[in-house]
Amino acid sequence: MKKLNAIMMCTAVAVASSVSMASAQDVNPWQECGIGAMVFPDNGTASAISNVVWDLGTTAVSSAMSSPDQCQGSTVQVAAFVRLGYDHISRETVVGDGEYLQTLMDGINCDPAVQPALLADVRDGFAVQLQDAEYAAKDDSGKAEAYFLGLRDVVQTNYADSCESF
Amino acid sequence: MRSTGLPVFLLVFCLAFASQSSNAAPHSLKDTVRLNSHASDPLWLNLLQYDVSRASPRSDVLPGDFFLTENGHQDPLAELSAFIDAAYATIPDDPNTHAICRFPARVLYLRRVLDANDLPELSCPNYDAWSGYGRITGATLIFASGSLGDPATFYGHILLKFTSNATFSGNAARQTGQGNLLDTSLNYGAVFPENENAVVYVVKGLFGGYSSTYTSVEYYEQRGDYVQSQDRDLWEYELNLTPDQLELLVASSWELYQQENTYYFLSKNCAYRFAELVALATGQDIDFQGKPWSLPLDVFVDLSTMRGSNGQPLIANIERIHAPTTRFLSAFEALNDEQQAALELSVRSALNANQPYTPAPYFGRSDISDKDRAEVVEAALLYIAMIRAQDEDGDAAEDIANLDTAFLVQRIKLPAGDTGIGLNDDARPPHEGHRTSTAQMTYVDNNRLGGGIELRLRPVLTDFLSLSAGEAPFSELSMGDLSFIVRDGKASLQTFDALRITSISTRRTGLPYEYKPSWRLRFGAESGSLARDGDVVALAEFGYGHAFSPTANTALYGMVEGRLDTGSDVLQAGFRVGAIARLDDSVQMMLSARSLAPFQNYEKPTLQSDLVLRIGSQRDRDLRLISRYENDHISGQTTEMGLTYSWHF
Repeated sequence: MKKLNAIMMCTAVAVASSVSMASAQDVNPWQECGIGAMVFPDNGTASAISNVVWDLGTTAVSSAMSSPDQCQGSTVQVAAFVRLGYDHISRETVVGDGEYLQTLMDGINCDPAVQPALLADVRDGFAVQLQDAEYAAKDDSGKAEAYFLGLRDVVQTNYADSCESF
Repeated sequence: MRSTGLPVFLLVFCLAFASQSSNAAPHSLKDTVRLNSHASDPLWLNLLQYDVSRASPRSDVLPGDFFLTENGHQDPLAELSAFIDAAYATIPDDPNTHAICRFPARVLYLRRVLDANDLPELSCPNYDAWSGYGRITGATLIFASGSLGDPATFYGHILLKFTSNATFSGNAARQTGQGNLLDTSLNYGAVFPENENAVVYVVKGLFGGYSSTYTSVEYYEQRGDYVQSQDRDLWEYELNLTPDQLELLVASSWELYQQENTYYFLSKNCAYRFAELVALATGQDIDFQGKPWSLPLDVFVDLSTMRGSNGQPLIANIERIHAPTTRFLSAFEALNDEQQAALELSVRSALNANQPYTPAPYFGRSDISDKDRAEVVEAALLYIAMIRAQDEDGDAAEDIANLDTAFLVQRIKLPAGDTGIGLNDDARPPHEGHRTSTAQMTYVDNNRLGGGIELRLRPVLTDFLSLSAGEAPFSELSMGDLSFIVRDGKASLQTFDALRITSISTRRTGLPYEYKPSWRLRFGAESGSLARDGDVVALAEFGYGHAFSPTANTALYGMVEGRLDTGSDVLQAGFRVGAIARLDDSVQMMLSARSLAPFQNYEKPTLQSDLVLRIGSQRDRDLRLISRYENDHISGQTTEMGLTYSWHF
């Protein structure tokens, strides 16, 4: 009986974890974690650190979010990187190469064998987005959000088994 | 139910033995410490950040949880003894709070120096995550170039990052490279209130009125702040460290992270603290060439002369991260004339909100390759990045909104592949320029006063004739510039520039938003006339004007100038014209001529001109030929010729 209880408990924990993981992966960090408000800390000077010590990642994100569990996974880390690096990422996506784009690809930790195809798919998707008048009308945060959702869609649809994030 | 008699007995025996040995180990270690005076071991003192130059040595870390004893900041033996006890203490529910997890560098000290091989094995989730789960493979010290527009950034800044091939999840990267933008970085700086008054900032910064701290974020945040927001170049100096040295550097950084010191702008600043960390790891002092002040650039000058344990240079590699402005200007200069014209035409079309974007005819020509087209569009995208970086007030944001999409769309239609436009420049790393301080001796011959020796000390200097490396071209910055003239056995103050900045910005392209005006600022004192020694007046001067570059190595400029001084003509105004020419590293020249007239006597201006020719391409010395001319309504014409020997240190 104890064994059965233990098995059931393990199963429940596993189910709870997978539900939590799924919801963390599907969360829109812009809508639910305050990603849109993120900006670079205005240190103002080289030798100065703002009195608001601003740690990106879980600290920064969690301070602005409504649901801590959903906003602490790697998905939100990806979102923060896209939000703050969007200028570089958009430029490097159209070029097809660059340090920020490579960090993004390495960071979501896909099988290196699928990276070229993933990158091509992301570039194709971005080409479609760029032609959309709605996209052009968005502010930087909105564009970064659209880019992030497009990337997540591509990974979840075609590369879910090959990538770690999403 | 099975009998548990024997196992219980064994368990009690083992616990008793373990308890005895866990008490014995710290006692034995502490005896070793007392006998061998390990508490005064420089490595232990460095780990606690002790300043041994004080009459009564004490730690620079402000009292707090960095110390395990109340007097830990001034009693290193007590702190070592307390740490030994804490290291063997019972492990709490949250291992992150155990001394072994809080002070991994001190643990290394116990293991490596005191041979404490029986310390509890402990998993430290917070430290493990911060240090990349043991996957850190290298350390890079980063120099952020200075900006003339912000006094606190004049002399640059230092950051530290650890290479770890990090991923968003924290798991091991499937693809191993040379580190990336998710690497952990460490910053150090003063903590002060937002909107601090500039005067208060300077005074408190100079005299220890602020605390300072280490912060840690992913490297891309630092890149975003310094490169994208502040438009500054970063120079990454990868260090040649052994695995043991690297482990100690990482562990000590973790211990210091979020600890507080007292901040001194000129001495115990970011340069001092990162030099201290590197010295701790390598066992080699960085002494700023013996200077009493700590300039970030001097850290790299020192590092460039040092060697790692393997006998190879301590600097393994240097990479430049271009600021948006330097990258765009480099890209623009790499374009041919046709490409530059196409870029300008396209940008102007995209900026015109009244009509749809029309790419330049260049893009439709059949004789143009996709690579050539891509270079132009990539230069346009870099141009947008430059405007964003310079647009502090957001004035240009609306204008460039159309630009962005127009060129992104145009580029994505071309084949993938970075052209690398703008990355191939031949700028030398900052540490290869002239040293940061200068002493000069000049023999001068004045047509009225005769010969004399001019002695000059410039503690911090970049002038128009400096062997440029990593700074804005055609600019000068000097603080505490002091010169005396010794003539006929008498010494007189010639000049004292508390601060002198001249920023000459030339138009490098025909594109909107690229050009910035030139300006000049000077506070100090000087001899009132070239015709007389002495007669010192305090002064403030300011100028504003324009400049252009007929060639890449030449600048011509003109400014309107104003001057307030304590002489008889309190308020003066006029204009200045000048030229700066860099023939090559060995020969550079500057000429400036100024006419200033008193407001109440404007028909009687004073004319002044200076011509200086620098000869020599060595980093630590050069020769200068100087010619000065002055014509005022009291003394008439005065000329002075001189030969200067400069020693840069």
